[in-house]
Amino acid sequence: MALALVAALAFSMAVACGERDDSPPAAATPSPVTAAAAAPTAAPPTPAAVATSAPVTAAATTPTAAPPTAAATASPAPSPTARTSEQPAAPAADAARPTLKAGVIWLDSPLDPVQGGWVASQSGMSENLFRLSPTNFSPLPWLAMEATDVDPLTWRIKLRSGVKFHNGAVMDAEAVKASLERTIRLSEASAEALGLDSIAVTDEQTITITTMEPRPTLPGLLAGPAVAITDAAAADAAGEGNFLKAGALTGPYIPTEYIQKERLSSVANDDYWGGAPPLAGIEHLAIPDTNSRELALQAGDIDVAANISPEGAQTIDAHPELASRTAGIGTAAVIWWVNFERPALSDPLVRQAVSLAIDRESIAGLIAPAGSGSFAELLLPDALASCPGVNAPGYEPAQARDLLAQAGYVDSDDDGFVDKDGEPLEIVIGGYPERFQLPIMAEAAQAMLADVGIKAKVLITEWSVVKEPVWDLFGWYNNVVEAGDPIQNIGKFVGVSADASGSGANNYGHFHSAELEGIISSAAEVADTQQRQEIACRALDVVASETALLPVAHAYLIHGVNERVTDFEPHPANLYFFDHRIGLRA
Amino acid sequence: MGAYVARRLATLPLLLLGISAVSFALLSVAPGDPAEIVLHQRNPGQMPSPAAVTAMRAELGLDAPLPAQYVRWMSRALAGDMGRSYVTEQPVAAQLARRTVPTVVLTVAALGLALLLAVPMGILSARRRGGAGDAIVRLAALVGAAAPSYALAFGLIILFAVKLSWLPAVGYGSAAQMVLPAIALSLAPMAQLTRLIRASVLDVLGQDYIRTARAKGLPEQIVVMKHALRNALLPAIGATGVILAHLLGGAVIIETIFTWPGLGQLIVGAALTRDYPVVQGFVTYLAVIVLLANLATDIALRMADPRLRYERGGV
Repeated sequence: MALALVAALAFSMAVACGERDDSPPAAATPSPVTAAAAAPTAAPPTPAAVATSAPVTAAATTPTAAPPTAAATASPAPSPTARTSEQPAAPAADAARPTLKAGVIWLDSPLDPVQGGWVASQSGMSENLFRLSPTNFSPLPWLAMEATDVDPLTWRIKLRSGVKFHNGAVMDAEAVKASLERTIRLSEASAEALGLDSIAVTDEQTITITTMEPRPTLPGLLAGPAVAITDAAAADAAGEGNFLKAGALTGPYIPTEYIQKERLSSVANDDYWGGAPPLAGIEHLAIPDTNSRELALQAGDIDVAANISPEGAQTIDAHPELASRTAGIGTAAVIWWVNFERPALSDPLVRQAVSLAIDRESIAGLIAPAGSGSFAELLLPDALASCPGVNAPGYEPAQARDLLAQAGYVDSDDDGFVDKDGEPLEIVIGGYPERFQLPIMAEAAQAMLADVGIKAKVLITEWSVVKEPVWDLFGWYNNVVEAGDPIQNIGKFVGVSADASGSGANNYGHFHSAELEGIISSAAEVADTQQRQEIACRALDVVASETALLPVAHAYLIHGVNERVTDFEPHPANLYFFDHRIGLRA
Repeated sequence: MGAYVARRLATLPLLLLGISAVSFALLSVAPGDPAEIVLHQRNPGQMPSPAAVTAMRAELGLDAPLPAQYVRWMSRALAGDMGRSYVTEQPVAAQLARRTVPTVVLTVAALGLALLLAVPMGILSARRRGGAGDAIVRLAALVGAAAPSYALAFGLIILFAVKLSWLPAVGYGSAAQMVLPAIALSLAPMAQLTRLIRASVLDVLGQDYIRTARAKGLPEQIVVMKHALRNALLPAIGATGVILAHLLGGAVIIETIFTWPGLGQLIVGAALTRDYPVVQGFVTYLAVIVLLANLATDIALRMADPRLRYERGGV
């Protein structure tokens, strides 16, 4: 048997090597997608010229800061053809350009934006009409040039000229109209969020959107990954499962091969409106284990490791050829929902006691790098809405014991845990394992609650259990800068959508407050950013005073990069990892 | 032998039917609604509406009674269609087939390596019982059996990939990328087999027929290799069959750490997302693997041990 296995070993090595040989380099794959990529056109505009444009609207969502690499200019970007003489020649051949290797946590969502859109957005393949500012998350023009709110129900959006889909088709007003209509048709969540009534083509580069209800934050909503602009006709013609072959996206990288949960290959889009990328392409490898991702970077297997841990960042920073990068704004909130439908925390005194018994600042130190935002910011990062008067409760165990006594809970049997009418106070702290922060939080809180006499069980399980009535606190890790709107991001946690309709939210704790709904509904037609921030702060005050949920920290996104990587500008939102500027020195 | 194999193969369909029915029932009572998970997967951060959940349940066929769901699944499976993944929407059979290749490659490499080292080490240790060589082999086997695979895996990466830059840390597709996961995966079976072979060789070397062989004046090498080894390896053959079935089911930790796209990664991801078709397909696959591995082991044992062939009037 040993000899047979030795022979099999030799065979397996041959198989392994053979499999590699059977897979041609991505750039050589003969497909319409690569054909488009391999056909360089007139030199593209410089990043400085294309990264800025007219403000979204004069009255509504004027960007307060330009992207880091953008140079301000008032004029719209001219077409690539018009810019030929201004631009350097596109890189001569892919052989002369390096391919970047990136390790990411997940490659889960399909490339078709209507099925989620995260992977396509993060990998620089899809683009939206607007993208979120890296400094204050306001919507910046991207495939759009500007947006004007004609009246509360009408938006006019002028489109960027010179944009082509990967299949070579021109992105004009008809194409954008078809793309948005396809999104609404295939994505119920997007249809609900956008609330569009009609889309009309005003001229070749302008569309007019009418909404059913006022949508003062429409440009921000159009920045969602599921609303990326696609060549709808090509995507539909390609059929289910063949989106990649449709060449229906517009970004600087063209997907050539995608094996979900394994790897994603791309080649440069030399016809890109923002300029030909300096890379030949990007190879994404799904490396779900954080330690493995960090070690792969240290071993030189990959050039960029997305989403590394705070501890891993220290090791990487100590390496002479590596560095960690972060945008410096925590955009993902780590929170506990409070379950209002279970008896344990239905008493507000007990809720407050639980809140005061948990040292969230200590827990924040365990799960997020030093200085990466803390529980004191409550729910939203300062960049989205600064609310100096609203703070999360501090750590006051003595006060927690007093509140429990006021609620009738005492340790009548000297077992170290409080009880009432013979029933012990016991809560279940849930969470899911994929986010390493959540089990740590639950176990730390268990010990802290025991200190004030509350017995706690930890339930680390799958995400979907959040829908079942088996927990009192449940940890969640989620983006809180969606659409760049503070009110939407409060509403999605506590059951009130931006128009106060009460739908489309993640209110897993079943918290209801007429006062909160009133506050949020008052923002329905408010376009002014500052006024929306003020309303958001009033809403946060209600959330804090009712202990509607327990925010713990804002986790930074930290990436590890090889120092050969150039022009990598980490964006604080989890939407954009790579753009057309990133390069790799030899 | 042919009749024996035919008898064993004839029981396979019944066993598979039972295993698939039980696993189907168990999956259906597990917490979590696949319809919600699929909707969440497609629209991260959004709570799906009850209407959307109902529609998705109908789309996935989850609104039918459980027996009807099972009959439909089984009838399709018999035709080679194991359904589509709820998450990736890819055919389950294709996913399993694609993931099986890396798992088989890694299994063969790891088990081959384990046997290559365990057989000589076990014999050496037995022949030098009480000596320095025996002590070293026993210590190595103890460490191999006790060391957590994740610790060993990270240790190998840090030493050979990060510090020495001899081998890649992660990935699949080249022989070099297979070395570290194969070593990491081989250590536990190697330790197990080494200890087993040592004990077995010691036992056989104490038998009367070995004493007779030595009394005839045969060289010790002939005594061990020709007379002792065949009997001594019988327990190892049985254990190898069990290890083989275990490894072919996917090595979750090793595959995750080395980003090896095998069945272990697939099944963990599918279980966490309640991807019923993939889990069900995997359970069926694993049942087939275990049953075939057991059959292969029994055949190997009968070929190696004439006594088994003569039971029940021979084969």
